Amino acid sequence: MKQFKVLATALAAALLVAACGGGGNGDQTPPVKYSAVVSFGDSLSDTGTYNVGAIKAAGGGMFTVNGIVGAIGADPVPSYNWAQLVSASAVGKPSCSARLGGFGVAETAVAGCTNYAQGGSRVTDPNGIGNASGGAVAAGTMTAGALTEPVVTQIANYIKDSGGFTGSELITVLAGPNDLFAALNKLTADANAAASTAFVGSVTTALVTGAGAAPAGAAAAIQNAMGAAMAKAAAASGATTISIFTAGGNAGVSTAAASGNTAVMNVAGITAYAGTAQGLANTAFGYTLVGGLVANLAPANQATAVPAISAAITTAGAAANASSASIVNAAAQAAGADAVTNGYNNNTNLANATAIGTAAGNAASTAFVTSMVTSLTTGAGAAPSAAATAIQTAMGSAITAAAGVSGATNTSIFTAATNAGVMTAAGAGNTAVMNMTLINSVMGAAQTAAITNGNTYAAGAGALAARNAVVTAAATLAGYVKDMVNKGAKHVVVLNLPDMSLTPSARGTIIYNADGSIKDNSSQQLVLALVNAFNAELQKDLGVTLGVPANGVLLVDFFTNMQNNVNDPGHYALTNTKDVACNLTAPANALATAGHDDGSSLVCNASNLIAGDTSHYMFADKVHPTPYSYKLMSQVVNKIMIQAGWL
Amino acid sequence: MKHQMKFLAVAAAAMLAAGSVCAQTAGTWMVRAGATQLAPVGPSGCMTAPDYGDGSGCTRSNVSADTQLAGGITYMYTDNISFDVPLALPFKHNVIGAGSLEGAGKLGEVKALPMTVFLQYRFLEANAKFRPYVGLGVTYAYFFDEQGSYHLTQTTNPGGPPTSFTVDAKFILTPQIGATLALNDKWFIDVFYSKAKLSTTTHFSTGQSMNADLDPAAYGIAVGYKF
Repeated sequence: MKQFKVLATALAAALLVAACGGGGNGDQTPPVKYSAVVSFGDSLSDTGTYNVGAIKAAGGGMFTVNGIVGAIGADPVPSYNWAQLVSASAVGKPSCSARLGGFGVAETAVAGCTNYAQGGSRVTDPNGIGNASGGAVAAGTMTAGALTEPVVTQIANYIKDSGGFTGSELITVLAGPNDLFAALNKLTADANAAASTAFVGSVTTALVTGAGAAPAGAAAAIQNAMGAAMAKAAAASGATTISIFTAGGNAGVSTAAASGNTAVMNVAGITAYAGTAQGLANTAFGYTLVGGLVANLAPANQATAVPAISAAITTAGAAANASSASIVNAAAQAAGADAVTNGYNNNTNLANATAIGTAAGNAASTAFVTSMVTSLTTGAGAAPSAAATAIQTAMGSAITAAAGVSGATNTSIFTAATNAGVMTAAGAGNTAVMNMTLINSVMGAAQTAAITNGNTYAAGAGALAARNAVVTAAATLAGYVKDMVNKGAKHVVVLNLPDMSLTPSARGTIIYNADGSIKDNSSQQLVLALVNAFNAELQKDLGVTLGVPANGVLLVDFFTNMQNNVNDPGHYALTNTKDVACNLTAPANALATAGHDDGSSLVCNASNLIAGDTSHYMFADKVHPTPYSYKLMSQVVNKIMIQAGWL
Repeated sequence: MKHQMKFLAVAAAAMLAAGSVCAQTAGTWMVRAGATQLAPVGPSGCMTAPDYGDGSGCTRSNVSADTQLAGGITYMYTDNISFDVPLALPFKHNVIGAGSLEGAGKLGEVKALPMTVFLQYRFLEANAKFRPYVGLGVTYAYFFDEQGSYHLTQTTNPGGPPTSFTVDAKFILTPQIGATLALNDKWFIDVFYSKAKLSTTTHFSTGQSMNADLDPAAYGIAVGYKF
């Protein structure tokens, strides 16, 4: 009977609990007590160092989707990163940035905050990604204003702020991605330099050898011109490999042509243009000269003077070394002879012969230039009509300059004018005057040489240099971690690098075939190789097994976790692991440059997301996670710490 | 099963030969008290997203066994057919991380109260000293007082409010075998084994859930008294 009572009691208790909705909170006491969670690293751990000035005004501050408010654990997931959530798990409150500043705002320390991570920071090099590089940054500056204090400085700052490690801190370390980016940037610059050198060398060689080529002495001028043009093109907004190579090629060809290379010119075409122009110039010259010398004469006198003067002009013009002066002189003599022969007075005109000659020369020049401009701006392959003024000006200047040279002849002046006109037209896009077959062949060969050389460098010496750089960063970071343990830290959680080859940034380097298959993913594979090299070195130097604590260090396999996220999104309730949640184009994203989707999640919030539900996207921008993704990260770190007995 | 029955029958026959007289006749009431162990099997199925999946693994759990003071009441409807209601204090089970959460320790605890009515068939004669029996019960498996742990919270909702959970109650069938051994006219010893087919779902306050085939086995031993 007593047992009935037990059952009845148990049932009543059960019903009571059921009525309350069931499910209690249980014991939420952390098994391991920590005084604080201290974080060192970069943007992935940064809790808002740059939440100041213009960045703050833009509604940013953290490297994720900012401004999603709500208590930790709420849905949609509020804007906290993994380091903050681990802090909330371990000590009951999210961590905060120990330093504020950057982007033109002076750095200040924040008492009571122990997250020292800063976006852009590297392991040792203070010149992180987006750093001002020592230069002063004006208030309100949105780019190149990050503090990027390296991990070594962050640790020193913590020691300075706190008085040293007590052993009661839980320390998190995640750094290295920016050293990898720096290595990649250097590799790209070096590979481009190698490619440019090969390009310039190939073009120069082609332009100073072979029939009709410029003399070898022009090589230096060609190289200098190409180098300057390519540097200028590379600095231009929206520069591409093609735009840089084209600018360099044009400069090289122009210089070669100016140095006497006729192989790159369409000589027949140019000669035809010049012939036409010269004919018209001669005609204008003759009409003006004859007209001037017979002005105001009686019709009967004009009838004898005109044929006589014209004959003299023709004869003088045909002479070797004919010049305006020699022709004007001959014409004046013929006019004078005719006046004597036929008994009339032409002294007034003869006294003005020099002025008449000048007017005739001007008329000739004008006719020549007008004809050339017309030829160079009309017809197939011609420069656009908008280039007419430039051609005209260049020819005018060339004529003036050539005429001023002692011993100037008509031929020398017209040649100078022709060259100036042709060069300007070529620069403006006239292909009719160029030997495009040859130029294309030279450029094609040079580009192939450039790409081959660049790729050879990138795959060989460049890749090796990048690998050495990240391995050095990993070894240095491991040294800092062990140093913290030596100084009294007892719990240092180190995250290895995620598989950065899976970020939208690295995926964006893949070149696809028309059918969607991968044509070239060597850049992405290089990222993976660098990440693997970093992680291998980090683990080797820390001397630990992944997930197994030893000597105060626990290495978390963030790398595999990120691969799991991407390969098994369903397990993690991720709806998109390839695209970015933030609109990274200008003007929506204040850190983007016009025409490029190169903005940053640092100024991303609910107001400048892409359209649609992005709450369970993996990436906020091309390298940074969304708040939801950060939460998944914190779950993994917590899990590994729990399994290790650290949480 | 058949083999085991044969063995029991032989054992019972041997005891009969000893010639004891211990009646379990129609209309007899019996009560008993002892201990019962409830042992669910594991591990559970995968927790719904987000879990810690990696293609081959996922977040699972195991449920520990528990032994409680237990007994029951039996009524002999005929000399061979009886009704039996086992009684027990609630069983307290720990929910232990498994699968991807292997090594994470206790994720929570839950109390189980299986309420069963068995219809039993008792072999041999009413006065046999040893009587094996088989039974089939209808069980209402009820769970209450579920308590999540710190580790459950920190793996499902880091830094957030405590994660709680509830386990769905279920009606199930429970087959049973057992035997009584009469000590004298009034007192006897009862042993039994049952194995239920129980699939239930755990619902977490994070919106996630986890299916589990707990299929608990129950073992009991008790001392009984006949009225």
